[in-house]
Amino acid sequence: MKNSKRILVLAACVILAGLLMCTFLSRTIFTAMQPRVTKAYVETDRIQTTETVYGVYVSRETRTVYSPCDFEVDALQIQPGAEIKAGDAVLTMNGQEIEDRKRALDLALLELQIQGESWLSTRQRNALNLRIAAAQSALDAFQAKVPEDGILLAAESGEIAEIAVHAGQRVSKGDELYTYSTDVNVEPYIECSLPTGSAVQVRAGDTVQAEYEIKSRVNGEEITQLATADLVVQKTETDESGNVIFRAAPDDETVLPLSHLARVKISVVSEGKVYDQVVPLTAVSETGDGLLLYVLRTRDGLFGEETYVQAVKAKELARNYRNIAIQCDSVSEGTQLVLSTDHALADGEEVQVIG
Amino acid sequence: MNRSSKMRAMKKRCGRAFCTLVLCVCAVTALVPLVFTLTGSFIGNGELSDAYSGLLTGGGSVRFILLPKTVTLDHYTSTLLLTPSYLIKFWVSLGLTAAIVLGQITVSCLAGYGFAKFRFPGRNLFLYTIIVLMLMPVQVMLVPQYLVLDKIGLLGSYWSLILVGWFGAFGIFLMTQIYRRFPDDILEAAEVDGAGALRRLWSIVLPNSVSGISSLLILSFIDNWNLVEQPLVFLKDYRKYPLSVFLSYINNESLGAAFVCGVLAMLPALLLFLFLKEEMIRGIEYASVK
Repeated sequence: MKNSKRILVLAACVILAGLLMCTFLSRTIFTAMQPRVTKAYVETDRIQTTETVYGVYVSRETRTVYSPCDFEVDALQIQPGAEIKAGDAVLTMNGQEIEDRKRALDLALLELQIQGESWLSTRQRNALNLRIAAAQSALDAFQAKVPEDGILLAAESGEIAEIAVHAGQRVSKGDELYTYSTDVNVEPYIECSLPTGSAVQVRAGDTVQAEYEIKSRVNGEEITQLATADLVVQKTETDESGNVIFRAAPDDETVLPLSHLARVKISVVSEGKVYDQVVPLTAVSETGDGLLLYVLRTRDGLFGEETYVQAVKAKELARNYRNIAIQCDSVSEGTQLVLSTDHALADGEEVQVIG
Repeated sequence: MNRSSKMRAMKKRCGRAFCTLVLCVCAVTALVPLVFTLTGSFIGNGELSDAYSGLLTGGGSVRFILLPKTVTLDHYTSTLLLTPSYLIKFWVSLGLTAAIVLGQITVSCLAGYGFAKFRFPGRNLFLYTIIVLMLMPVQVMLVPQYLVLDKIGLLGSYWSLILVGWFGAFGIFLMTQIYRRFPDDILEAAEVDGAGALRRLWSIVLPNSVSGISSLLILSFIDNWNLVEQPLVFLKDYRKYPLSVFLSYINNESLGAAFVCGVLAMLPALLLFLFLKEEMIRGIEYASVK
């Protein structure tokens, strides 16, 4: 063989060997540079939505004290904003009038009792007994409500909100004397409202979650912690504007460490609806004309079966913080989707599925 | 006498100069595409788009660049190292062409030997049919070939190209012509010595027809290396297309890759021609000169 031919053969071998090496190298580099994706599946699932509203913690009640009888107010021992304890003197009633009234009730009862000592027919005696019982109960009631010493005492601890009478004023039985707020015998609850048109609904018996702050002092420093509690809805009502106002409290005997009218965050979760095509929220991206997601498909490549992505458009039906229900003709239950990727994807691009 | 001889010499020189000029023009015309392909493979993307985008969009002007402003190896890097599909197309083309050429040479040698050295009924009719087939354009045969391949279930596979290439008419005709000139005496002597037909072909005819086979090899290689219509019609999967088809689908985004693939496509044919050019010329001379 001539030298020139030998050189040509050598050159051809070198070139072909180089191209062969480049082929394997480029295949390796190409595979290494392929986008790596994780997959998720289209499932039939329920989408529950959560609405967050703010409510107030109610642990006190405003109560009103009414006049037990007709009397004249002698003096007041209370003033608005004052804290009172059970048994504290609230006001002084005119003593003479109380006495006169009690004496009148006593005399009425005595007269009836004297009548009872004489002979009466059975019918007359029965009628008299009824009158005696009524007079006795009136006397008992008077004695129960009206203090003997004429000093009206507070029945419960609380804070005076408003005083409706003044010294020297004459009040009739049943007139308002004063109002006070108290937490005695009050079952605390949280009251909040859902706006009109809310996606969630509440009914008595539903469970909602409360989130609140607890402030405490540690080593002289004030720290705030977040705590949660599950509450049960006790009752609901709708106001004139269509807002749903509901009241919720812990199901067990738990007392929330909150002050009256403290602000509480309430999360209300709806029962939700079942959808045929539910995917994780991270599998979709929002574009100008709807949602875009990438479906994993397989095809025959030169080196065997290869996985590639197909871009499809979908319409949103419902979502929560984790999943989204879509409507798309190109997918069905069990279809594999791209959940996350380390590169931007293009329609038809070959990818590597990891995990 | 001196004057006339001087005139004759001058005419001869002018004639030679004129021929040289014409041949130079032809050579330049033939080489220009090659040079621009080679140059284009080293030009950056921006300059390429500016110069050649008019060619692809069908509007605007095209500017051929001989000396680029910036020389870059980016296209070679991306084509040879980052995108395996181009090299795979190259190997597909090479494998396909090698399979077709080897098969065609085998069939042509056997058929040519049979037509040249044996007498059988209908020999001339078959030979003339082959000549007629050789004269027909490739496109005329595409439809009947498609129908036959569809019937036998080979559409979509590489065998649809290989089998069609094996039974090419030109190769049979060329080898028939070459073997016709082979002296019968040698073959008769070998027959007397007990050599059978195939033995005579293998031991005597083939070694002495290397030049003919070389010319068939080169011509067949170039013909099949540049297949475009058959792969488009017979192969259904675009991923199976050879390099020659890809070069007809270039667009703005793959201009650089197209130039590099053009250089790649030139290499095998160029190397083969350089290796076998003497044999090819001898073979064509032998086949054509009485």
